[in-house]
Amino acid sequence: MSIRIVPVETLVQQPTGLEPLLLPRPTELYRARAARLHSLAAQHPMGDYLRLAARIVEAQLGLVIRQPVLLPERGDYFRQCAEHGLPPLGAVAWPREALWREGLRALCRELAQALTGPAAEVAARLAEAPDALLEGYAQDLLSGQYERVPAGEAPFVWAALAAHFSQLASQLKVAAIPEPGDHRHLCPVCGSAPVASMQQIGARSGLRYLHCGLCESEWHLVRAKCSNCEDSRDLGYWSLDDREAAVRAESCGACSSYLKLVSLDRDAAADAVADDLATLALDARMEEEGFARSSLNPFLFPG
Amino acid sequence: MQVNRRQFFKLCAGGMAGSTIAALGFMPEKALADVRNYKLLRATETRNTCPYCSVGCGILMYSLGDGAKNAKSEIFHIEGDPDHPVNRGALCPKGAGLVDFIHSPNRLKHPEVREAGSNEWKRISWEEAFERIARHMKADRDANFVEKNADGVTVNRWLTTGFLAASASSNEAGWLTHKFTRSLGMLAVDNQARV
Repeated sequence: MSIRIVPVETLVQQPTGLEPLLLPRPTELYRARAARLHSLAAQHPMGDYLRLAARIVEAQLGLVIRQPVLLPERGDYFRQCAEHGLPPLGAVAWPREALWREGLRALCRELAQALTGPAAEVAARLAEAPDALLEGYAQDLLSGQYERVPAGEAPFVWAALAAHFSQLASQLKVAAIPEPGDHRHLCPVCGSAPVASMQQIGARSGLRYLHCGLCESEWHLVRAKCSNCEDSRDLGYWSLDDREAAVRAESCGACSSYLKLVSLDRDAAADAVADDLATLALDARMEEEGFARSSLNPFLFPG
Repeated sequence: MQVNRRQFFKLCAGGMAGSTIAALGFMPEKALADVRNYKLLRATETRNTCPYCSVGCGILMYSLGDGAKNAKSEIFHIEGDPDHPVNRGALCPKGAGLVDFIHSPNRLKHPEVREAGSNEWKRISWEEAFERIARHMKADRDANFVEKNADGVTVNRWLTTGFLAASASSNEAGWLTHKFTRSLGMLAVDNQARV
């Protein structure tokens, strides 16, 4: 891990230069994401599905506002993580508070009312599911064993976990220190895969940050480099119809994978999850070119 | 080398039956129906150093084409490299105009000579250019080379010719510059190592 996260009180010297890590602000993030999904849905062949995703994001926002989660006091745990260079909220190892299940049930009760058809049935089923089943789903999803969780249930469970972990991440009192080595393929906060790259605007103009698919943190990785294998010799930047498109796929010939790159300078309202989900046609064409996605979208799990 | 640090997925190949979209009662075919109507474009981004001055700003060059045979590749955009420690993404007006410099119709692409007494530039071959420069250098060096100074000490100086080298050179190019000029006894060498 070449971004080491340490408790802020252990810092000897204030770090200078660019910030390697941007912690999430869940309220603003989910509000903007829901709005973005609605606006993308307006003229989209998959508009209905984007509106469903928007509704789930609104439910995530509701959780953050109505059932806020407090970061527990775990000083020794965080110090040990820092000492060994481990992510402080490593999602598989983190002793999950039972509170996340209350969040999931509240989210599913709300969505069972708000949605229709199979989506409402899945939500209703999850709202009544026993603790052991929900914990099993969570553990499988967080450890990457996606095939063990039904594809319909997965986005609801993930939405509750994401709302939980993003709130925990937003309260961390830590500093991120860049270290030699190039291991930046997973989130330094929770160890999950990035959903997309975000090319920033404003004070961080032009810099690329990877956006975590779970805790919504963003961490820095230099441009023109594969985010999976760090090769830089055979990169392609693919887009449909428009070479100035806000969403491009960054492919790597060395590992045959790709991750989407969302350029906020081309569309300031773009969101990692929303714009990735809305550009499924680009995924289809990238697969035809022989590349595989090196991440999942939280609203699209494989069957 | 296949480095598979993250899990890889192919979602669209099977029409996404069984995926989340299908499981929640939606039809993924609708999303993928118009895939054929789009033209897939490939560009590359390449790191380089601005050629102008000795600050040596990092740049990112965008080009179309994948470098395959028969495919014409073309640079269409250049911007400052935001990760470069020297310029952090910024470029001066000259650097910001680099893409026009590349495509300028006035760009010099081959050696030319304006003969003494003529007012026209004439294209010559690289071989001829090297030979003429070498002849001028040898004539000047033979006439003005200083082997010993007034005290009879061997100095081997050639003071009547100087060498203007590039500003954004690599260490290796700098080493070659020195090896070439010093072996001829040339003292006036400028790499524009200042701005």
